[in-house]
Amino acid sequence: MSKNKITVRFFLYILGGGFLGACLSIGAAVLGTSLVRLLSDFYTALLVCSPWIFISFCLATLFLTCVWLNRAKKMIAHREGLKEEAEDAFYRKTERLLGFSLGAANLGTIVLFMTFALITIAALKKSIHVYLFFLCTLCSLFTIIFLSFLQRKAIEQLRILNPEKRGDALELHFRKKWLESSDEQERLAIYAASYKAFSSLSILFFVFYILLILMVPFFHISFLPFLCVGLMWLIPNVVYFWEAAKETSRQ
Amino acid sequence: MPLYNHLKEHRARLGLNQQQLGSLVGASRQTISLIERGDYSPSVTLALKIAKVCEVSVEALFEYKEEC
Repeated sequence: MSKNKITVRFFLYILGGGFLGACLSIGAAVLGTSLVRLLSDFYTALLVCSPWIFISFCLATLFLTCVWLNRAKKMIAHREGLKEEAEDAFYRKTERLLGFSLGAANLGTIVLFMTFALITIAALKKSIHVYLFFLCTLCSLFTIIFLSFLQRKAIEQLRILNPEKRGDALELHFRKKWLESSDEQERLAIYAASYKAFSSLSILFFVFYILLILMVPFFHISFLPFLCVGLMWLIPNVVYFWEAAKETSRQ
Repeated sequence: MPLYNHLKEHRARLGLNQQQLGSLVGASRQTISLIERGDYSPSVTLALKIAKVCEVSVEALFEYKEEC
């Protein structure tokens, strides 16, 4: 693509973004108080329902993690006597199941933390009974510990398939050990996934920031959300440029 | 990818499975499988290691064909 075309496209993106932002602002201004009331009603309902949402998430995460892990375990236990042609498909399927199990445990833990924050706010605002809050606290502790052990089991199964792998999921430096025991192709895959996560996060934080600015006239937003999103946006970029500079100086 | 290989034939000749060959060259079973399928081009170091284990030259194991 020619330089002029790229420049025109760049300005079109900016104009498009500005237009979308303006439309959202006008829409929010027109809807105004009714939008704020609607969101506030939704938030109140969310606070009241938060313990049940939390318990449902706990059960769903545990269920999915256990089901995928058990299916993979059963397949690994019956793998003897597989022909070489079938072996490839077997490895792909079991590794995918274990990946799903680990993913469910990881994502589930993040969602649990988010819903637990909602319960804490609900308890402080007296939207839920204090006993319910303590019950959810116990439930979260149990789920997080149980999920950690399930992750360890999944890693153990992966190590049966790949005996060269090192590290225990409950170790502090597990990711480092896992990476060190990975070969060039696996490292390349890990780096590619990390780069994709980094680029999508950079775009996402930009969008979050714009949305936060748009919300300022309608909600009582302090500087704290801006600081949090800004820091989350800044830190990966600082680490990225620091590591890139280190690599360049090494060359 | 214009890199073709005869790794599967040489591995069969040696009577090794993907896991065994992987541990001999310091790579995972998955990497050996991806190389055999032509989905991954190994580094020079790994290609040399595989060639050494198979007791053939790198050129006999891997060939580069220009795509038309």
